Amino acid sequence: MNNHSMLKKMAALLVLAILLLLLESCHRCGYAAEYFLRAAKSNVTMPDGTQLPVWGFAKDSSFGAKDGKVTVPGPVLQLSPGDTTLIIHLDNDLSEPVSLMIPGQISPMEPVRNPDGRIRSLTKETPPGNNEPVDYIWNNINPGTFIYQSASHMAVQFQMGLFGALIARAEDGSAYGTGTPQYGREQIIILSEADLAIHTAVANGTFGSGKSMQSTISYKPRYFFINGSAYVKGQPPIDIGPPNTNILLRILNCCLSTRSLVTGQRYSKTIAEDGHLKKYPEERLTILMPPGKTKDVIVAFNEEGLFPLFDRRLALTYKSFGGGGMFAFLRVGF
Amino acid sequence: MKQSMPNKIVLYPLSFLFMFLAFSSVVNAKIVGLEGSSFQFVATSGYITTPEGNSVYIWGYGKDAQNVQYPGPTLIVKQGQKVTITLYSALAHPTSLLFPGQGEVTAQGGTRGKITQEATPGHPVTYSFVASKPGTYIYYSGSDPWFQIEMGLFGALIVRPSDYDPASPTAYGSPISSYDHEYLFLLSEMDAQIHKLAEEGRFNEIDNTNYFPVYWFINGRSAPDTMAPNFADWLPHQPYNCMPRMTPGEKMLMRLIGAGRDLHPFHFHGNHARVIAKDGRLLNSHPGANGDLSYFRFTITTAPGGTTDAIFEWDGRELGWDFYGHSMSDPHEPNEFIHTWNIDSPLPANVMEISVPAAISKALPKYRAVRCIIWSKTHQGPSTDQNREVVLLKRKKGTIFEIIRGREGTTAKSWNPGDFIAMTDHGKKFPVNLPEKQEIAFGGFYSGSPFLGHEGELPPGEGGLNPFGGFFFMWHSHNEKEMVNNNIFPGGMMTMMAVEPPGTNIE
Repeated sequence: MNNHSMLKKMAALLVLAILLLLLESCHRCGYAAEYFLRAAKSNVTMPDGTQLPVWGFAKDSSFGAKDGKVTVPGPVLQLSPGDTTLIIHLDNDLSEPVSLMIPGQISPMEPVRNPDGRIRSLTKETPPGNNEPVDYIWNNINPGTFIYQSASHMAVQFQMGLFGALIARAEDGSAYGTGTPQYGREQIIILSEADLAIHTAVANGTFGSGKSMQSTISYKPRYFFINGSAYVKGQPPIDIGPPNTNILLRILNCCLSTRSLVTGQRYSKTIAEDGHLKKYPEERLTILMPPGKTKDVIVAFNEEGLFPLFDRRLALTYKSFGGGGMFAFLRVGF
Repeated sequence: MKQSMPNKIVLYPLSFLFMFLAFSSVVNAKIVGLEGSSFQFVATSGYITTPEGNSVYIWGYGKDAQNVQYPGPTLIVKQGQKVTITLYSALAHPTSLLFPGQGEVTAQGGTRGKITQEATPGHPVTYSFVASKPGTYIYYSGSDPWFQIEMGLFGALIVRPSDYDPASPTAYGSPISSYDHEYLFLLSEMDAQIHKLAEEGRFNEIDNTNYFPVYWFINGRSAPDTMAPNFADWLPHQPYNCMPRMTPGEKMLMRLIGAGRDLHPFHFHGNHARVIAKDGRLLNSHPGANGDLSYFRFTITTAPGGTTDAIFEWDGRELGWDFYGHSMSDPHEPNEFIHTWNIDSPLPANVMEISVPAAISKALPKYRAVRCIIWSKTHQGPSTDQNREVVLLKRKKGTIFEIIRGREGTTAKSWNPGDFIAMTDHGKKFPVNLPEKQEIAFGGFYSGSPFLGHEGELPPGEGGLNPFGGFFFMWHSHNEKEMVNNNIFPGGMMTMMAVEPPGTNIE
């Protein structure tokens, strides 16, 4: 090998390295979804007038601004089509450490253990009253519908309300890219529930080791929600779009039990599950939703109207007659 | 392939049977119900009985006010028909009917409810729809569904395909859905406390979030009532039984419905079943694909509000012994030979390898040796051929099998193209020495013999529930807690499936 060809090779390598660096830095600087989330307490009014204490996430404009509203479920996190980077700066106004994870999305986990070795948090914690944000970063986000949630003290924190939806889209703007059935509109449907006794004990400081309520072993939910609302008469419907349009329902089950969702007595087509596109959509009347499951389902109605969406496991009241459960109307047209 | 030992199952101690008191010459077992296209329902209250002796207040549909039933009448209609159901109500609460999956259902009369038109006393509602696609469906109340479904306001709807032929029936028109017998498995559960409060008019004390079922039903009956005849006069408001029967080699269509609110892992002994449809839709990759996405299961969990269709077969394949109790020289029964094919090239006595036709190879077990018999093409079967040879086939690669020659006292011989070889247990001995009678706990289903169609000596007072010498397999919720009647075992969501000897009339 002579010197000339060696030089040529080195120059080529150098150009390649510079190109790679440029690509990498572009990727980092311009193209990432960035959120400032804050975990905090709130109260939600139930259909029977009860104030349900909850823990939820709020979307702030910057760290410390505390200008977001705490909601259960938390704010929807969305990525632009093709974007694969998600950065969440977490603030913690609760009295115990919280954290974030997204089942189905890969990021390095840094578990935290108690002195006795028992695991306390599946990844690094954000301490209460933190002065600096703790950053949670995902560099390889897959398109799809996912649940984000606290990864700390999960028996308590998940059922208190520290969860929400993450929606990532493929580069072509569709749900999963090539092979995604065509759809015109989309709607998020989050199923959740709450046990008043546990929420009250947590809020009053009577929950925990040595206190009047020691654990969540007697968990029994009383309130059942679609998108955070327990149905009451006259509640506005969920507008899903015009007739004769394929509508993608992104369904997330944040309950601790399985739900069987029926969509207006009509067939739906489940096209994806847990963020994975199915080879063959499943045509069903019932959408079986185990806890922690997400399904992407296409519905289409050929007429205008109100179509009931409800849990066929019949979590349809907070107690007796009068509603207050996992029920909503989907409105087509108007 | 899961295969239970039938003789173990027949020892299950159930103490009575009603089924075989009368049977007709009908060849195919059919689900009973109301057939036609125009129906009248009355929703009213009544009582059902549970096997441990309770009487439970229910709300149900009936064809008239005297015949309220749990579940409601099974409606059997034909594809393409316009179906109308007029609902009269004698209930204290407005009530209604939903027909999920039937497209646009029109409802006329009554008053406007939250989901659909509701009937009140004196104000009936007529629901109509076109049953556009065949399949297994459910109907239920759309008024306070959490309460009215619990009380019993639900039922089955079966839409027969437009080309339905009772002599050669199918569920969906396509060949994969063909069957000899069909049975309904409508599963539900019940919280007795809710029913008691409703009976006493204490509606506002009912707490849906304290739901705690204590009864579990198949077609509205708990075991052992599941095995009593259809329309038994001592169960006037629970007309439907669940006593599946078949003979070896036949196909049984299971129509499963999740009518209650809980998930029930419905488990069947004897074999896997092929799940062919969910919620009234064949499992197809594209229309007309004949259920190419079907799959085998031995436990089926149907979503609450949903349905599952499965085809169950039992021919004792791979049981490992001849359940007819044959000796090698006995004539064979229909369906006894599981896979028979012809040898396509000479097979000298010293050859230890054989190529199997691709279609047969696909059907043979992947990892296990299988027993086969070879006999000459000039004979009718192995029982007439004194030169037969018993061999073991063990898969080597693809369609090439190792052949272990001269088993069970036979010797390796030379065979010619056209000679027969069959995977079969014909003449293979029962692998167990039966214990002495004094060491056996008997059950009513034990015929006294482990062989199909045989009856043996039994101590006085034993047996008697198995007149044909069939094999009985327990079919039940695999959530074992659901096999009780208000805390008393056995019972609940359980029945027995009988494999009867070839030629038995199945009603």
